[in-house]
Amino acid sequence: MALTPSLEDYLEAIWVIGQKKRVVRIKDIVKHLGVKAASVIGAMKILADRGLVVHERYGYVDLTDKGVGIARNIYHRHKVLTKFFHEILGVDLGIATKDACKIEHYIDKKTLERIVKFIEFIETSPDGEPLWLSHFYHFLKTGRRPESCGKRWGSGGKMKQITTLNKLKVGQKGRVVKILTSEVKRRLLDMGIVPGAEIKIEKTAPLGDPVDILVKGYHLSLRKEEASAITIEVIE
Amino acid sequence: MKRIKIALAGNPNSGKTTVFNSLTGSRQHVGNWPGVTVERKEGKFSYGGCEVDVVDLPGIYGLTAYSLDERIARDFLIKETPDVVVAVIDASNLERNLYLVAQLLELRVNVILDLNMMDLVEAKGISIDTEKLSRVLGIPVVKTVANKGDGIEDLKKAIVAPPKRPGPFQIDYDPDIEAAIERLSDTLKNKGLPKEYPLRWLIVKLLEGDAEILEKVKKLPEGSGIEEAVLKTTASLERNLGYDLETAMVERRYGFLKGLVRECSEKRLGIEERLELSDRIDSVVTNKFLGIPIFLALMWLTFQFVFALGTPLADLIDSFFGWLGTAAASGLTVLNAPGWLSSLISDGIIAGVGSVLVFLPNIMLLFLAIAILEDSGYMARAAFVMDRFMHALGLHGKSFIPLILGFGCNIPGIMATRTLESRKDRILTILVNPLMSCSARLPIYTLFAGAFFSKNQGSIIFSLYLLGIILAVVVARIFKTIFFRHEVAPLIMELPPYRLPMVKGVIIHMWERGSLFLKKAGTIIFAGVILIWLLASLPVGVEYASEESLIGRLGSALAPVLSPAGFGFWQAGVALFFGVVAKEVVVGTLGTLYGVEEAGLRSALLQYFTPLSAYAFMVMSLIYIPCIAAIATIKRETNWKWTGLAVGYSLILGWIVAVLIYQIGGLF
Repeated sequence: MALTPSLEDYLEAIWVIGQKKRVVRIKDIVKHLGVKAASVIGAMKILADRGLVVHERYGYVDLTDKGVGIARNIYHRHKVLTKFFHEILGVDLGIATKDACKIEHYIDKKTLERIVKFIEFIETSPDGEPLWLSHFYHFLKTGRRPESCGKRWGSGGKMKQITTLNKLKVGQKGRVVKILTSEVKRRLLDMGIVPGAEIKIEKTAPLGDPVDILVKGYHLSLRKEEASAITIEVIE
Repeated sequence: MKRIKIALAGNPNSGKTTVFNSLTGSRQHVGNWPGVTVERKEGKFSYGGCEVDVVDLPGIYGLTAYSLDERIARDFLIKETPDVVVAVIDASNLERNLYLVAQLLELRVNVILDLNMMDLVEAKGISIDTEKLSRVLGIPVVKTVANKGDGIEDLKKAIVAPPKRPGPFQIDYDPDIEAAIERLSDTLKNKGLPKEYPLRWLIVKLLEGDAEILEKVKKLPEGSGIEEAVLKTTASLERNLGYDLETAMVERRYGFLKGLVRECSEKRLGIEERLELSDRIDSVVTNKFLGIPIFLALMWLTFQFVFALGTPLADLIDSFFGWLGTAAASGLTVLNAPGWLSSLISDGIIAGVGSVLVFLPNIMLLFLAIAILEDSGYMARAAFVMDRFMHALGLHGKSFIPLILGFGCNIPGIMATRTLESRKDRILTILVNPLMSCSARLPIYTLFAGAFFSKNQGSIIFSLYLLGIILAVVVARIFKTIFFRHEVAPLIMELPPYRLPMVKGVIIHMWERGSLFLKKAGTIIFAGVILIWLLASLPVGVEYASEESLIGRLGSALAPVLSPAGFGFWQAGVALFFGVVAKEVVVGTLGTLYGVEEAGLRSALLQYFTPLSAYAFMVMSLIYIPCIAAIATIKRETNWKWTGLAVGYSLILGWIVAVLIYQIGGLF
């Protein structure tokens, strides 16, 4: 049978205290959780009945192997959630901890796993904090994207810029990354605008639209509307 | 004699039409593809004991069912199974041109590759290894310079040589994709897939998500099962690829061609070098500042060419038929022929033939001008320059030319919509074209404006032109929302290199389109003129076009309807009826009905019209029903449904606007 959130809290508390001290006493738990001794004693009784805790004399409690398993799991959730809220989303530690304490009891294993992966993905980024994340923090602070947004460091250390074709200026060259799904996608593909193809913006029409591009050795004109469906890596 | 049927396929601007003309000479004719108004050119030639029927497919870039042209070409190849398909390609731009060839080969048709424009390639010191190309693709390869006739002999020889089934050529997609194709072939082998398609091609199309093929397959008894298998395969492939399958497959195809081109041509030309001259021309012609003035200047020239040069000729034809009519009438009177007969011959038949032929100079010159604009490559630039403006009106850059021409005459204006690729743009441009105030309406304006607004005649006439333009914009927007709400008409248009138009090609082009107008529209115009003649002459014995004739009675019946617009008398009704024959006839008819010569007409009109009702009448003449020739041309270019709409909306709109003007104007 599932444990109530408060019982899970008790297990977690015993485990956390146990990590610091050799033995865990009722009064340690009272202090750790800020509850009354009577409540702790009552809870210990239930947990003992479930075979998760061994309540010894002199006020010492200890977790059974099964209890350790559950407690560790809850503590893991707590840590992950706190980290996610505080370190990634940038929420204050106090709030992050408080929310983690609540959510840890309810979150599904799958969701938690995904968050763990997400954190891992960010932490293992080869260049330290990913640029997009710092952009996010900049965005949090200022409400605006930083000027450099859209640029990232490529493997060769050369600046790579990803944008859409309509944003390219006359004379600029780019390489097609992908074409967004739209009514005209197939037409664009057939005309040779395939991933990897080089495109140069030749000119814009006198009224500002459409644009004339060079691709696969010929001139093609597109409205900016159509060009915005083409993701481009700027090469010069 | 052995007969074989071949088709010419190729990108637009690959010189396909030139090859067609060199192959067939004058033995060709133009018609329409069944059910659609896309030109279908056919021709013949005999060579080496073979009679060869040639069909010129529309210029296309691929065989997706993306555009009408592509669908026509694809259906033709699948259903009419030509013995040989000659793929004409611009050898100076191999990679993109070969894309269509690759698709043809995937469809397993017998392809002969025609490397056209070889002179451009050789002039730059580039060599193409045709043997290698032929070996890799498994098809015969011929070099031509079609505009000089070089290599046409070799091409004919290759065409009549016994066809080889295409070799084992196939595009090698990703190993994963290939495995999936194989798996699907096993699953789908006995599912009753349409037999006319090669299985591999069908599977490739299904994986690419080809809407038309998917639709066909869904209708099969086991359709939903097949669809599911395809979707599952697509999804699992896409997961591994990281992006969508359609993109991946097109990319592979292009990837293969890139490799092939690198292998087969020694020195590849940088694009800057290849297009040197063309780009230099473009730096002026589509220049930020000069682009629009040059466009307008060229439009003015075209307009002058078609009308200033054509109208005197048209007048000559007109007065010739006028003279012929009078001569015939007096001749018949001398011979004591009955009045109705001489009227039928002079007012009916001769006038009818005349009203068809009178358009001929304008039409021929128009098509000459258009052929030059198209063949030189300027037409695409015109669309490029004007698209922003026209797109804002819900039309296409290329719609501008037909509309401008409409100011001269709506007939060439409507015919010029042939340069528009999308059906939506074409129909919208045709529907609003009659609102461009054509020159035939000018005599009406001058008469009424001269009589009632002699002080500011110019501004009054100008206001009518402006009204027509404003209404065209509004009507185009409305029709677009009603009929084409969900249709996108993107602008994805090649700007082909400038080329010198060839005299022969331009003349053939002009003659074909012009004579088509005569044949198709001519009959309707003629029938319309005869019908009006009948209405004016019946019942037997009445004076021609008098109040007692059918047309006079119709005019009287119409009078109450016209009275809210301020001209509720039978003469106005009859004049408007005759105006359907040709708008300028309104003037002559009013003269006849009031029994005065043109000079006396002004004072006669002053008795019947007020300045306000005169203005309302001019507005009515501007908007109501296109003339018979325009109706016939609209029918020729669309179908009866759109023609009916063009007639109906203009009639109602004309009445409403005329009434509004008279009623609101009456308040002041």
